[in-house]
Amino acid sequence: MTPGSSTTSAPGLDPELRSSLQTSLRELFAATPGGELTAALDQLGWPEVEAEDPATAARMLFHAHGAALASSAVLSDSIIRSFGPDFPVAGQRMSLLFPHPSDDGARPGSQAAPRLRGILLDTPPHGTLVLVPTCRGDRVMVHPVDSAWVLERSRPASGFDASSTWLVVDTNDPLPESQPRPPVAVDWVAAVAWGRRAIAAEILGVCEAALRLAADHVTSRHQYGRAIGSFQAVRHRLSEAHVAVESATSLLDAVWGNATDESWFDSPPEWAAAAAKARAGRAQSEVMRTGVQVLGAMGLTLESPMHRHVTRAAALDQLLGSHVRLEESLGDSLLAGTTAYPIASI
Amino acid sequence: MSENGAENTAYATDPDEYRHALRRHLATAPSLARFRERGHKSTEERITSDARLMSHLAAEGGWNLYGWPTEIGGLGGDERHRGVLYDELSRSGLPVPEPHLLIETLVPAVTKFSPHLARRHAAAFLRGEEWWGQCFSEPEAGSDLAALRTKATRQADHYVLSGQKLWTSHGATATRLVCLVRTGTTESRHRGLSMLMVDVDSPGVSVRPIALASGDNELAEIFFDDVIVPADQLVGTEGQGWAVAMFLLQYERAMYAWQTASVALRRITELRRLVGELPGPLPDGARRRFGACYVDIITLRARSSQTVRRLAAGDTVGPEASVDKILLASAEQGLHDLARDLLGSDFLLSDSAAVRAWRADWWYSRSATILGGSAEVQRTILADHVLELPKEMAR
Repeated sequence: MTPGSSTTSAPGLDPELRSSLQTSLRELFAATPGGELTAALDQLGWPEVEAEDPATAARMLFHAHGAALASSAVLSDSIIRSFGPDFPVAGQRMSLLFPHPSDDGARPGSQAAPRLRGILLDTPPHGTLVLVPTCRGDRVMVHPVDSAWVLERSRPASGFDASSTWLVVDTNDPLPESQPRPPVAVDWVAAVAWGRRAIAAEILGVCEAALRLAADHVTSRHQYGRAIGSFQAVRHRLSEAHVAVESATSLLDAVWGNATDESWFDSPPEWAAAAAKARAGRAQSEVMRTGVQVLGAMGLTLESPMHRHVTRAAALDQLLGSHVRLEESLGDSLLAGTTAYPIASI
Repeated sequence: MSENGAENTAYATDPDEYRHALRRHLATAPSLARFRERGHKSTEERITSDARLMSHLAAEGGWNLYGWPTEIGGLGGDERHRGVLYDELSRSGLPVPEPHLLIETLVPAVTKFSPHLARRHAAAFLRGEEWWGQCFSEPEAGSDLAALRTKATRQADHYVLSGQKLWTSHGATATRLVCLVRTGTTESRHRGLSMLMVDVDSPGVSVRPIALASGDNELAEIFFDDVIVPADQLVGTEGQGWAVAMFLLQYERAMYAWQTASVALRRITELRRLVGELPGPLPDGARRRFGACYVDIITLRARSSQTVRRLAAGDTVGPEASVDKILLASAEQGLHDLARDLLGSDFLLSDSAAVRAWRADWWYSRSATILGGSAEVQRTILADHVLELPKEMAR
């Protein structure tokens, strides 16, 4: 159950370096508040790690982010960096408005009503820009909008996930006429795929932490004169949760590999990313159901940290497409004749 | 057997080269068309036709001999080549020949523990000229394998074998049986076991086919009545049976999972076509289930391709292979439950060859949580050896 224990070797970062980076990330997330993470990661030299091996770096970063239950704009930063170096200008702090989970993430702002809505992962600092994606036909543009304008139209998204820093933006107002910079076209398909792979890694980080919590609990908690983890009903449930996490991790490994390996010819990366996020999303529903159950009444209380894993995983499942919606849309495409892409191969 | 020796060497050392050449061959060889016919066949017809496909592949370029050492009649290469073969066969609409289930289970173990037996017999198995069965389970030893009682007594240069084996896959038609037998006392549990290769035509062997609920004779019961087995047909040494069985289980779990994954990807595409021909709307939830089932299949592919690569690298695959086994079963049963639900009344009533095959396969898919260690045994292995949870109470 060591994070990343089942990952296959990736080029770029050798196993020793990866393991030491994992430790650094764990320590950094334990000690740093969400708002300061971007700066702390810069200080750790993360941009260089990312330049060396973007896939492994992202997988490790978001896995650790999840395991620490961190809430921050790190994913937003990472997606904006994926738009290209110095996008759209060097040195400008920006945040991305994520599509609202009820809208079609592939076609942001395409809903019928003239309504702007979405999710911000953290409160954008005063005087910075928020990138608002909208689509015209298949083309997605991001509009840089002053953060103050967006903040006036937002509220905390902490309904279920109380420890989250997310904000919901929801307004019928049209975007301000004069924007600080002109809108820019971006490769939104690739950005969403990147985001889905990253969130899948984060979900699996949350799941591994929850599973460890559950395993520790059933080992120390005694009833009927024995550890409750010695009852087959409990053991088998946890084994199934372990299978869910391990298998989603294997799929995500294959999907990251296929996104970065140019020689991979068989499966479109955005299709693969949707499948990986669907599997990770399903894993969280399986793991959390078991995690809460085996903790008994304690799992339902604020006194056990289990609830924070449950709510965080649920929120991450919704971001850029829940497993329910992704499974349905993959099924639709397959039934309409899309190739059943193999994703992983020998 | 091959027209170009230089090319063969390249295939044996480079699975990608092999994949491309194989894919080209399977796509272009007209003689393969007759093996693509769909529909239900009896177990005996299917295994015979599959064995013919193996002989054909072996004769026309030796395509199915990669992945096996030259000493036993292979053309070199490793587990990855075998994985590529199964995947490319499925991709081109051909079956993964049934005997490969037991080739994967038995040949690596026999090659490692008794190379002389592999040299003597494996080539014919690889070429579809004969096939073998595996005799592990007994009436009183199913999941609890170490309780088995079929007894082999050493006398001079042979063993005398007596007892009864059950649930032997391909048992009705196999010509050789690899049997786990007791050479020690019953109390010795797994320490007193040995592995023996037995010729089915030896006096005293009798076979009774067992029909699955589908009506197909997938399994058999084998009786041994003072059967004389030459001592050089031991796989490994006397008392090494458990070690051989544990070694063999790695392959059974890993390679069978990959075979299942390869075939399942072909079958879900075929199901899509079949469902597309049905009149009327799909039942509620069908779209999501179809997507989820596909995701389960590619997840099994992702997991099991990692395991196959580990075997090829010479790693020992330990208790974590139970993850592959559990995934295999849920993908396999999920696919067949999906087919049953989407085909609706046709699943029960249709006479078409395609639906008859789905019906028979549905029953066979139920065995995925039973054979090779039941789903419950797999979960217990993970709880004990991977999650390291407190042990269950002693019985």
